[in-house]
Amino acid sequence: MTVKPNNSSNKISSDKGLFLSLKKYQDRQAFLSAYDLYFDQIFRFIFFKIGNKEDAQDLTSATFLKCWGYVQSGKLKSDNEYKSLKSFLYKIARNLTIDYYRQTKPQSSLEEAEAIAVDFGDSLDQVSQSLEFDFIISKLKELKSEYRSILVLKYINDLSVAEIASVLDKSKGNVRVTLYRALEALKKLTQDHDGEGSINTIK
Amino acid sequence: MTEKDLLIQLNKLKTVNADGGFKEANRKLLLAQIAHGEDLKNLGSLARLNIFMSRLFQPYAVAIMIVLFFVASSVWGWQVSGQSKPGDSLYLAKKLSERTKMLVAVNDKTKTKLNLEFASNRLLEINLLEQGANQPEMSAKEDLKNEFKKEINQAKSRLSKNSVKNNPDQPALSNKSEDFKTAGIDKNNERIDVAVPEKKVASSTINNNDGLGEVLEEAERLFDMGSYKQAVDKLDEANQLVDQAK
Repeated sequence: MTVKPNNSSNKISSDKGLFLSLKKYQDRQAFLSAYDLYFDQIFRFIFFKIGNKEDAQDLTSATFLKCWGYVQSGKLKSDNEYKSLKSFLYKIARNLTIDYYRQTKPQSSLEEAEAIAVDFGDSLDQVSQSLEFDFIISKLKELKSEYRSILVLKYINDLSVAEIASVLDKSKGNVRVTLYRALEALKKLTQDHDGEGSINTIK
Repeated sequence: MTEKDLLIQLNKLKTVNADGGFKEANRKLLLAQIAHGEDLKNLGSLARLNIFMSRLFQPYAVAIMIVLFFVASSVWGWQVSGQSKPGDSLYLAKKLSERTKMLVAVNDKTKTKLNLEFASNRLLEINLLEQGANQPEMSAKEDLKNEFKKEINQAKSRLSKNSVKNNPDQPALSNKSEDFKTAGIDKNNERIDVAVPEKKVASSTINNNDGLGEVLEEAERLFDMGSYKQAVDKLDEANQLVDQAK
């Protein structure tokens, strides 16, 4: 039986340390630290995918609960697929989002779920009103889900290309290409907007 | 808008967060859920084993209790119905039980033994009827007597079949073995032959079957004389002989 070192995780804040602590000792404190560290990131990832604030909060909560379930079952210990806790959490979040799409639109395939256009509705307005990001959010809204996800992961949540590749089940090269195309698509949308002379909408 | 401006705008979206209250409340909720799981984990090994065993065996325990209930009630019913006589509420159960036993019996030997056992039962029932305070109904007594005869005949028939099987040289019951006797002359002066078997094969084979036939004949004779208890003893003797037979 593995003996948990005293105060093993109280001061651990690195992804690697937390992941190890969870894998080896199923440490509750490490889990709570991971929650504090990644909750907002996971929320943003889900929110920009589904566009509904309440559902995004619920799915974020479900992500952490599922993560703890994996930790307790010991599956995480034997599974070497995940290199970091962050990518593991994102992977769970992505799967839950796909399940969410399938529940709301049962006939949609994985590709359809990924490509589906999101109607952010009032949720995004609530966020943008307070944060004054109308313009960029309105352009993100026009992108397809795959591009939006990859931009969120890279430029908002600061994941590395390798981490994104792990989360989205793509090769690093594929991630780089998609990232480039996504950025180009967003640039084009904003340039079109500039051409119309309505850049002043950014407050 | 340049790429740099675009990235700055995207970077600012880092401030998009869930409701502050939700994050805290959910943290507490998760902690409570985890703590509940931890409490279960921290239980002593004996307590955990106890929980595990109770969860594992609960459905089996219910099934076992149901089976035990049915077995116990069947045994009790069988014992009570064993003492019953015609007219009692449990007599029907006794008859049904006998019929079932006969249906599930696999070979002739077992069936013969059952015939003898049921014949004994009929005798005991007649005895019970006669000992009762009320005068027994004649029809009930007659029925029991008929049933006794039926059981004995069936036992004889089975023994006869067995004997023929075991000794194929023994002549079977057929027209060829019958003696024909002249009955007389008809109006056309032609002889009329009337076939009258001198002896039933069943009886003869039983006679050859280790004295079993003789014991059965004796039991029938005692029955006809009204010595039911002695007839029962003879049937028990016959049962033992069936047991000893191959």
